[in-house]
Amino acid sequence: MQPAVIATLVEEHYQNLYRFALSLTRNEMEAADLTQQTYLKLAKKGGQIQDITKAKSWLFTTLRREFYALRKQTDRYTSLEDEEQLETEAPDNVEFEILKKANSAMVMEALNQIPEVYRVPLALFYFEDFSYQEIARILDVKEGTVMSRLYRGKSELRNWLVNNVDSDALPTNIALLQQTPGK
Amino acid sequence: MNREEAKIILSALRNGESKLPEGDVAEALRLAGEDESLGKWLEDSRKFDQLVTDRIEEIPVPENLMADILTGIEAESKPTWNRRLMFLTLAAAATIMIGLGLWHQTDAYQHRVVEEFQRDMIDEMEALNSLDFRSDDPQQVSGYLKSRNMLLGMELPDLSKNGDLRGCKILNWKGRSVSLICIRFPDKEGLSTVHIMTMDAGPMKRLKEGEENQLQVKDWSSTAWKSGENIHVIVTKNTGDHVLRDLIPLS
Repeated sequence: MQPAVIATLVEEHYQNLYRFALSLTRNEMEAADLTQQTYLKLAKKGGQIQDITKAKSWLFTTLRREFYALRKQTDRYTSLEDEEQLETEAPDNVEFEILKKANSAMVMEALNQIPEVYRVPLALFYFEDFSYQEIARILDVKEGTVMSRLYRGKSELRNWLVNNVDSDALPTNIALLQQTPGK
Repeated sequence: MNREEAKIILSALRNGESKLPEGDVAEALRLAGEDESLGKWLEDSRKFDQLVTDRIEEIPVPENLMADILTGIEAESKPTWNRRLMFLTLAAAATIMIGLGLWHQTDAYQHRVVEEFQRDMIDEMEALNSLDFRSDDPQQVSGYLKSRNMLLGMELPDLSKNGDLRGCKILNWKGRSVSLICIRFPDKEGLSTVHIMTMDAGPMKRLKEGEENQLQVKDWSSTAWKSGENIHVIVTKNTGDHVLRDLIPLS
């Protein structure tokens, strides 16, 4: 792959790739490492990508695989299927005005709090505007499964935000994120 | 399709999706259009999506991340380029080696080397001022050279008629030993010296057997030929052809 093409792919996707990595690792340093690692892989194996329009999907798929490979090494792997049991009902009647108070740190923390099985498709849905079909391909699951996980995940996300957005007792990592200037 | 199923489908859709809905998706959208509460839910859901998207875009990204990524890629790709360069260099070297190998087989190359050998021998004879061993006895000259593992390579010419053996010398040509025998012949202009050199054919081993290579440099004449594993050169100055004809054992 041409260096100029790689540079363009870095410029276009590195931020959302990092945010996706952050949603997986919940750790800024690990997220940055994972993002770098993914691009290094692109530089090495990018020639295998026949269609450049698929590079975005390749990046997110690769990052996710790298994350799971890394986690397997550190024995922190938890089966997604185990977490799949954690389902909640989607609340219909939420106060949107309350949700509007949520800042980026709270949204990120909310994402971090929900089970990974929902968090990963949600991150792909929100971070890089992937369609449910693309998410299904990236996660290698059926489209119906993605729909179901998105629905449950959004419900979890809303629940957490509604219950915590007015809370003064935010976790330390949220307080730190809030102090960090936005992009 | 019930309302709950419709919500699951609608939840996966993005606001402003350009693709025309079909199948279950179209059915869910149709339901949302007909069912006021489901329509309100969809509207609310899309507002929520927009809010989350907006907030996520505000999540800070480490300032140097992009530079770090690009630096990492550059550092990683450098050895690759070096490896490519090395590969190209080796490929070029191999091509040159093969080319040289083939070139060495060619007649043109063989003749060029012979000519170079002849020129160098002429230069040597022009500068010659002494012999290593002086004797007019062919047996002694032959013995001297053989004792030094030198090639004689050819039968010494019949000198009984009018030749006068002067002696021999060991020369060096590009790291190879060359035996030199000097014979003096009477000529129409007096006496002329004939120098006979023998060396293992080595770089000229593919020269055609029995083929004469003539070379004239100023007053010097030289003839070279290959015989078996050896190359012989005769160098003379102002010597008649008849003398050389007698010496060269070629038809």
